[in-house]
Amino acid sequence: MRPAAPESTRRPPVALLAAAAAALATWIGASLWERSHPPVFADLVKWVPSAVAPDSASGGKPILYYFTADWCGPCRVLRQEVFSSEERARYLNEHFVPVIVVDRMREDGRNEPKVDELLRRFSVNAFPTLVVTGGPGTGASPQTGYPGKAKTWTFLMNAEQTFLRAQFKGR
Amino acid sequence: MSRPLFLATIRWWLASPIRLGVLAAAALLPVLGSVLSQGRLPSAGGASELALILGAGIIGQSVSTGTLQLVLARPIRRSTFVLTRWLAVGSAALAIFGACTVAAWLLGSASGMETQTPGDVALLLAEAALHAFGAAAVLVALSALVRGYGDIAIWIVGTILALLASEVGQVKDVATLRWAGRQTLEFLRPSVDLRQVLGARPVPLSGLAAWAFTVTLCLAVAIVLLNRKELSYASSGA
Repeated sequence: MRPAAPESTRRPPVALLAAAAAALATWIGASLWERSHPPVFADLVKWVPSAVAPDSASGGKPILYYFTADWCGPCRVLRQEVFSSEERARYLNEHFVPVIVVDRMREDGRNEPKVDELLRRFSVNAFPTLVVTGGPGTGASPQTGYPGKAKTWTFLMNAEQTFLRAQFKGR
Repeated sequence: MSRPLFLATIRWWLASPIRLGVLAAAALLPVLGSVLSQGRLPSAGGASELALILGAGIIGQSVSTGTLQLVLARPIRRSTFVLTRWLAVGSAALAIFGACTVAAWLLGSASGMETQTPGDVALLLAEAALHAFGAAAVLVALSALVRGYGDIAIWIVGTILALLASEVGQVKDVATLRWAGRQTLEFLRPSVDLRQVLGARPVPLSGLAAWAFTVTLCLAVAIVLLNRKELSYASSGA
């Protein structure tokens, strides 16, 4: 009787290849599903409501006003791509006083006086609008609409630099 | 997994003072940074860097030195060898990162500047595990492809090219180039932003599936490459 052949040490990784195929199928399926049903991402920026927000820069940090509305589609993309990123949100929380200003005109027919005052002061007529400022009497850098993650981030960095330069000259 | 192979991998790391020095610097600098930045915890990406340091030459160096020929002279499955090396790199990187993170967190807590909760630390460690085992899988695949430390060289060159493609695509507004750069970077450094994933509704599965695909594919490729390798037992293998 012939002895049994020793087990091969070069068995193909069938289970791993099957797992890779399953993961690929899930990846493609989930990507297609998420394209038609985009998930709502958590906003990691610690926004201060406009009603209780300071009017001028505090602690050497400029105010970042985020003008938005519940019905605004590009605002959701902005939140997903910029404000839900841990790294970016951390930077914004540390270098700005983030203030959220929610327009309720379409839903309630009116806004809170503070919201109306901020909309007028910065001539906001579209959403989302981001404004970086040191407060009343100082310059303000606005960005209207959402031009994409990279351009928005560049805008925020430039606006912060402008604020810091103005502060330095003012001393 | 093979316990003797796992322990042999640890002994191999301990025998290299240069690797240990680089590893100590990569592990301790984030802790120092954490203390200087008032208790901010290190980024989970640090676990990838530790995995890259530990995983450089993880298979290729064994081929070059002739160790692999000796190991595979025994009835050990080649898949076991690959998976054990992957587990060793991933778990060691995670263990070192975890120890440093907990140390930074305790230091921050002790000096009264800690703002992170234990839940934040647990989430960071889970994310670090995905970073560590992801980077380890990529390096194992590259290491099965080339001898010596060619794996880390390919990884560095690939990362630089991908960054360049991404930047050029951004500046010149070429979407394809930008996409190719970003995809290459995501392949070379698989990771998942767990805070973002868990905070979204419905939970997006695409990121986790992409990570699982990269890792399983890399391990399968590494095993296939090693299965096809004909090792000469008569030479030094150099």
